[in-house]
Amino acid sequence: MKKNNIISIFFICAAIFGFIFGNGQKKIGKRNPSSVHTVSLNSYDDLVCPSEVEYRNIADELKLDVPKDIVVCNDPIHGKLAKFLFMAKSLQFSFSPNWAPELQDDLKNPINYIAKMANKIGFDFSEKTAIAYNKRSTREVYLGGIFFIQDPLNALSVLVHEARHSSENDPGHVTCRLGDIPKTSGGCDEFFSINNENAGAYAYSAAFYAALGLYVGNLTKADREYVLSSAMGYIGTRFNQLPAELAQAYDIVSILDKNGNVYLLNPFSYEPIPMSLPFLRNDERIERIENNISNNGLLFFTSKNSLYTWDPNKGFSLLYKDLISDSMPIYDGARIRIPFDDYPYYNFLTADNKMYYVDFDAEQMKKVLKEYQIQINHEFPNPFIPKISRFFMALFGESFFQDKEGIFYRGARYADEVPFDRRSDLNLAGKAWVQGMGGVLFETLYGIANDGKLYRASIKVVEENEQTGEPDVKYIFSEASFQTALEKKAKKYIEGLNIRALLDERGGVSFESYDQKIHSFWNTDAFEVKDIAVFRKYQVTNNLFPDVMNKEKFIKQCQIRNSINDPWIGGGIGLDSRGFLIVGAAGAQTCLRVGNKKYRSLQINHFAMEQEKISDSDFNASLNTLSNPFVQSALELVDEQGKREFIRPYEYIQK
Amino acid sequence: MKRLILSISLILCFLFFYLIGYYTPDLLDAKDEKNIPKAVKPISNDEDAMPTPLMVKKNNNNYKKNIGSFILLSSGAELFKELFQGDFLKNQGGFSKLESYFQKRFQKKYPTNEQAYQNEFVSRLGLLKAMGREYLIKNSYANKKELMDFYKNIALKKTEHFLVRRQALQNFSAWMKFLPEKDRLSILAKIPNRLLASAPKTEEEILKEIFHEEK
Repeated sequence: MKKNNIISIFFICAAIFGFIFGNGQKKIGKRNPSSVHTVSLNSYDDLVCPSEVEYRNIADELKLDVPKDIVVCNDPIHGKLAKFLFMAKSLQFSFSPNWAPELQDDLKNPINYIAKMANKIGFDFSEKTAIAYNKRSTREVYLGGIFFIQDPLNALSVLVHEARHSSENDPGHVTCRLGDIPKTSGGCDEFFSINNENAGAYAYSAAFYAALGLYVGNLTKADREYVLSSAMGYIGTRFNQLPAELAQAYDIVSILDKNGNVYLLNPFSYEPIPMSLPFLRNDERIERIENNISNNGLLFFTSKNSLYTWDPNKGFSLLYKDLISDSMPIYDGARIRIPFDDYPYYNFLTADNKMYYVDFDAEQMKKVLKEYQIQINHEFPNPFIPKISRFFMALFGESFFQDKEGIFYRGARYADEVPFDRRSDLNLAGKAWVQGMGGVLFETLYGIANDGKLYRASIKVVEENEQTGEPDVKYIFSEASFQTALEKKAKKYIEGLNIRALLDERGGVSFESYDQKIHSFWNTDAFEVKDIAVFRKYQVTNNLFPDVMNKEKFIKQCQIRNSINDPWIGGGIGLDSRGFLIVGAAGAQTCLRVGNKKYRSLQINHFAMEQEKISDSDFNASLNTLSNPFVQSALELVDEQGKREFIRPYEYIQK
Repeated sequence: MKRLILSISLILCFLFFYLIGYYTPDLLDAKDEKNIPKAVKPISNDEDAMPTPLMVKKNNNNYKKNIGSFILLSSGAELFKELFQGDFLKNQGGFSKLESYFQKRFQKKYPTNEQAYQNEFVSRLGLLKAMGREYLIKNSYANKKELMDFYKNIALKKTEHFLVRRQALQNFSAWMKFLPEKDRLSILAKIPNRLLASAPKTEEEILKEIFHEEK
């Protein structure tokens, strides 16, 4: 063969192979569902139908019979199954290692899990009510007619749910008792769990949806909102007992003394109960305490510029210890929205006035620490950057920054705004701010000025901004209506779920209920209070201290004749043999007496809106269920003259 | 030198035809399309399939043409697609034009079937979340009192689902800055603790907390 012919053959081969590979490459890209997550995974119209071979392979894996004489994608039953099972095959979860660790193996590859747990998948179109069911004796899953009108992601979650029923650890469904869902037999699981040993099928449904929303990248916005709402839907409607994190919550006030000791203030005896702080290094002490919205616990800022967090369930740990190194001295940390961004992140301020924030890296599917870089735009080429000392969220989504001179700045939201806006109406003439805060919902703006007064901003709409659609507003500060016990200068203001409190410069703490009907004051010479914070203790979480007395020990040791469980601290509350009100605590003083009055009887009372009383049986039956409407709980006492009185937490007036 | 030129020419030839192949209509697709009808018959139109209210609703697209029917009836993935990706709600103006439909939807009793109950619950969550988005806020400053009352009434409504109330309270808190202090405190006094505890958090934060991500 001539040399030229050989070269020609080479070129022809190159051309043919080039065309085939090119055409095939496009096919791979188009048919790989993981690459098309910018289209909905929850619409049969958008899902790719696999080839006959691909579908029949998946069906074989699932022990699902597929008639030989059908064109799969043209079949009303198998066409749908093919689309969402093919989509399921491609799902890639990048889990945070601590998120429901015992369920991750089952959830990360749903097809494998369903195949492992079901001996067969069949159809039962005679089934009129259930979407699908698991014949547990044979571990066979049957799909009813309604299954095929479910949205694809819901259909997939149903299969995961039914697969869980094959597990020996599945506790099985029970009748819905007290939730909002009708009292349907088999409609609920008794409790929510994320442990493999006792998680029910509804917990798997909720977990699967939550995992999709949290750990699958590139979902469309609609799909993500749908799966997150559906996860909330399962958690909210399918458990007789809610997860602890959604149960009734109580305020617990924490105080810091001048020596760096931290105490929890008993809500009835006002006895400061010391917290053990074993994590502190030599010469390190707590300088400041704050509420941690992320875990409902506390933040501790130390003299060595470390930031720790604590909550009743998980104890102490360095905040974001995997991201923040020892060489990063932390001066402030809070969850705020950084200028020009929409979403709140945890932000940290370091000694050199740099700000860092915790972001979620979608590519790495993990949290990372990023330094905040101010956006430079042509309108503000050299933006002023204040020497920030504190920052906080307020006015729903706004972020405010306080500099070392006590000036407030508003963080920008739109590109045409100054990154840190020192507005004249945000600052009081001739005064400096000592503290700012955004209220229990971060929806308002309070500030304590160096005149010791608490101010609140009222917002007036000046005119609507044509460009942004937002109104231009004016902040007008006026003195807030908080009745303090003594005319001392205010130092810090906090808001809890039922109470708000003001620390004064002498270390006294004034409490006020939101209805402003009850006021109390706590002060003692034994403590020089430097700082206060409030956190949420959930009804169903553990005792606040490991050495809180159990109820039996409390009754015996404190000679209690009439006792109730203490949902605030743990342990018990009761009347002793003489009729004094006693609370059980921890540490040196285990039987704390509240006041000097004697009582005949004691019970816990739960108030719904407008002081509507809830019966004990209703309360006990619905402690952590969805039908729990309680605004707050109180002690109901009857004195020796038969007079009834209520003591709400932090509302007892110290005698 | 000749060999080098030849090799480069071969590579370029390969690349040229690779690109032609890439942008040529798919051979396999073209073949498959012949076997697949233009539209797959919807399962709900099949006489053998079970006719349920859910089915009828899901395949009735007429409400897409009418904002009232859409707000009152739609659910599931279709609702979420319109709410979060479409501009259906965005183009309807402020809250005043939609108020009566939203009121009706949230005044409706929940269905008694548990799946339908959950669908309705998820739909209400989606509607509230979408209403809290900026476009509806921006179009509603003129009617802020009506919108605030709507959110407040759901947040305080005892018979509404706790998590729907939570979402309504979150939406309401965007507007509470306009309330006088006394009104703000009076409302906070009436809101159950667990609503106040969960309303400042996003769904992601709640789900991470419940599943113990930070543990």
